[in-house]
Amino acid sequence: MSPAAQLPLFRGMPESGELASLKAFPHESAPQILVVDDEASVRLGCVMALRSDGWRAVGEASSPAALQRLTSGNDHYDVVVLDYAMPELDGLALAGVLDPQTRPPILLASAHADGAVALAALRLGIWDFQAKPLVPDELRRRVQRLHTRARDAAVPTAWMPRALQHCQRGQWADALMELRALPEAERTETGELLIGLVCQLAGDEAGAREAFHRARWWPDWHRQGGEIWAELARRLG
Amino acid sequence: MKRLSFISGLTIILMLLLVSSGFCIWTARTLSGEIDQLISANFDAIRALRGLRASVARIDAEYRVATSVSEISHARQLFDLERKEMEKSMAFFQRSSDQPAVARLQASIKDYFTYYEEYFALGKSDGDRFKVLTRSLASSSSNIADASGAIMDINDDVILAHRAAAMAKGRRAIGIALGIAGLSLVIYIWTSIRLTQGVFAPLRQLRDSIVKVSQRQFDMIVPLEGGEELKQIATTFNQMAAELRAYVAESDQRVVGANRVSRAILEALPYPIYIVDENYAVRLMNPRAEMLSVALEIPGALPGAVRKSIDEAAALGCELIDDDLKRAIEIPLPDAPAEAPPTYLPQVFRMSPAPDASAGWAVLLIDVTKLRQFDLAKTKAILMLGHEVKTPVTSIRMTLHLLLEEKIGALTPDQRELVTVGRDDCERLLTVLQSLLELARHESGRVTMKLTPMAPADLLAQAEAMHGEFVRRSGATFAIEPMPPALPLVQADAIHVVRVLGNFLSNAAKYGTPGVPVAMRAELRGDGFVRLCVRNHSPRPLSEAEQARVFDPFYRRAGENAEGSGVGLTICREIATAHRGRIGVWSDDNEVEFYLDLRVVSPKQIEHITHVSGSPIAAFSGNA
Repeated sequence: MSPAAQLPLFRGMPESGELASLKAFPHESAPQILVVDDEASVRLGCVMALRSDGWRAVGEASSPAALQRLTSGNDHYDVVVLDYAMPELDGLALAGVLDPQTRPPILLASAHADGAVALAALRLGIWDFQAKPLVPDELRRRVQRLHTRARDAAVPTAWMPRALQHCQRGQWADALMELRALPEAERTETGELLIGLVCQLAGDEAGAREAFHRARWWPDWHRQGGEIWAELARRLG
Repeated sequence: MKRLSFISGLTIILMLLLVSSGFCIWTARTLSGEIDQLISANFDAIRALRGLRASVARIDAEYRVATSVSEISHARQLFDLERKEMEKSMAFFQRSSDQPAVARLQASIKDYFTYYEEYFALGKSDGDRFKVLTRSLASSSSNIADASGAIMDINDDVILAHRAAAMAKGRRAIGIALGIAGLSLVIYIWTSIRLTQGVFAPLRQLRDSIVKVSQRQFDMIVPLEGGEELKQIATTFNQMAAELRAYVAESDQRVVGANRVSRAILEALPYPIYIVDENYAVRLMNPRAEMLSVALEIPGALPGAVRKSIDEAAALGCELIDDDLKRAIEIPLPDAPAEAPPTYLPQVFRMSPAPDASAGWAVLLIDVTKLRQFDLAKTKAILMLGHEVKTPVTSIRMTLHLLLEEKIGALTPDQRELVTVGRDDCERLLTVLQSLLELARHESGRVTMKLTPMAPADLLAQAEAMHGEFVRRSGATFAIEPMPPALPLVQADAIHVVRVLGNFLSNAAKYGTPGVPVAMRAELRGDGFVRLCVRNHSPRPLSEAEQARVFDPFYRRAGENAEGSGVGLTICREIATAHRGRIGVWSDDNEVEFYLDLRVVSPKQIEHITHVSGSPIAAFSGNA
């Protein structure tokens, strides 16, 4: 039982099956989102926010149960909104079990991300982050971007979505090739930031330093997780 | 004494000179008198002798050529005249008639006169008597000439003898004069030496005494010798030495007293104190420190954790004297409870531990175990409360946002108003909560600063990159002012410094006069700091009282609406403290300037850092 559930405000709220009581707006063919969060109120909020925007959203309180859903093959999910801090299996541990080549794109949500978490998440190919507290519009925008990334990547000039797709799968060399396809003069600061991050993950410290310099960003991996995430999220839009 | 010997020496010399001069004058006078007497006597004798001889010659010549009676008569007259002259000359020899030559001359002249009387009586006639007379006369003339010659010879002898005597006298006088002069010289030299010794001996003693005093030996007394001036100097010197002696004795007593007091304080103080040299070797410690080291099983040595504090002070180039609990160090003792290990706040002072040590440190370990426990409990409580409150507030916020979107269902105007107020309060609550949590993290020391050498220009550029857009969006123009060239590197944690500058900028955007430029700049301060500041024009400048309180938590100016968390500047102050920097604000009639002063990196520190960790400043130094 989560501490939040003990507060009077949430007393009596159903722990499961709450979605049945909600009015189902979305169409059957709408993209399906899985929201994994042990906090009932947060989970409910996310589901409501997405469903009210026309998505099919499903909440899951327990991470092992969510793992079961994702690996059973019975359901297809277009995007997973994953809380980091959960009992039993945390968000990164859950993501780590999944095959990066086949798993749905993941949006990691966390209130307190430190440098180690950020670095571990990036290594796992989780490049999309949502800082808590959540605002409905931001959540929708990020889910939307993750969902359409595969479609966007098909456009020949869309090198950024393609690169991010490679990043999601941990294919650093391919990602770098995409990111460096543009001549230096035409690269945006966001592109440079991505190059820096990929270089850092691939172990190319000098390349990372140079790219961060051009991106006008000076990250500190060991202390600055939340800010690295925030900056990445800000630049990605 | 010296003066007396000087005067007596001079008197003797003067007397000797007088004696010598008197003797010389007397000798000269004696000699000249003798010579005068000799010359006059001999000269008169020689003149008389010459007169005699001339008279004889004239008489002989006159008579021998006289043939006529008149001529004889004339010769007679001449003879008479000459006779008188000759008798007058002979009177000169009357006194010395006992001398044989004079007697002979007198006899010859007497014969000469007798013969001539007879001759004139005879007249000029041939006859035997005449011939005899003529021969006798010739003989007498010749005798007179001989006797005169003999007397003259005697005179010559006398003159020569006197000359030799005079010369001998002269030589003796010169010898005596030279002797006296030599004696005077000896006396002079002796007096001079005595006198010189009299002047220099006290000076030498004075010099020796000064040397002794400079070697801190104050017991040598200068004797009161020499002239009045020297005596005065010696007296003054002795007085001074006595005063110094008294002063040193007093100082020694004071030092001993102060030392006793210091030791008593050190021993009575309930906190451990270590005094170490540059190599962390303990030179002095109080009983508490000894007990602590023994408990740690490192008797007589400095605990490793304390060493780190000294290193920190050395790296920062300053002493660490404050009550910043973040610096507290835990020293786990074997018998102390694990949940509350002894915690000390090290106060690090510069100090030379001994005269032979060039530099060192004194460390006072203030026991803050209880205080630290309270502080940790407070922070823990705040953090726990914060997290526990944050999650439900987050979901309430989400819910209110969703309701206001009206995608789930339409709201009546009253409902909308109520939900809007609720959402706004929720936003504020979250902001305050987040800031409070951050402040608690800073205060508890959970936020660590990683100080590296940074170029001030880099810091400003970074702040502009991150916060410039926000300022411009608020309607203010924003610029970094030109900086002085070659600003030194500063010790900074870039992330936190940019955070502080961001806070300044956000304040400038919020409270500045709309449309008036906001300026950011860096400048070198004289005291080892570089100032980074943000200046803006303000319609409501800060009064002095407000300037003093603006960094306090939850401080709000009168009449200002409760925008922001109220702890932003407090967090900035925490960051400045962790940088060992300064933070502040000044305001005049229409401008407000917030500043952060960061410590300049000393060349030694750059060398140290580069040596330890390669090239820490190479990363972004090219960005300026």
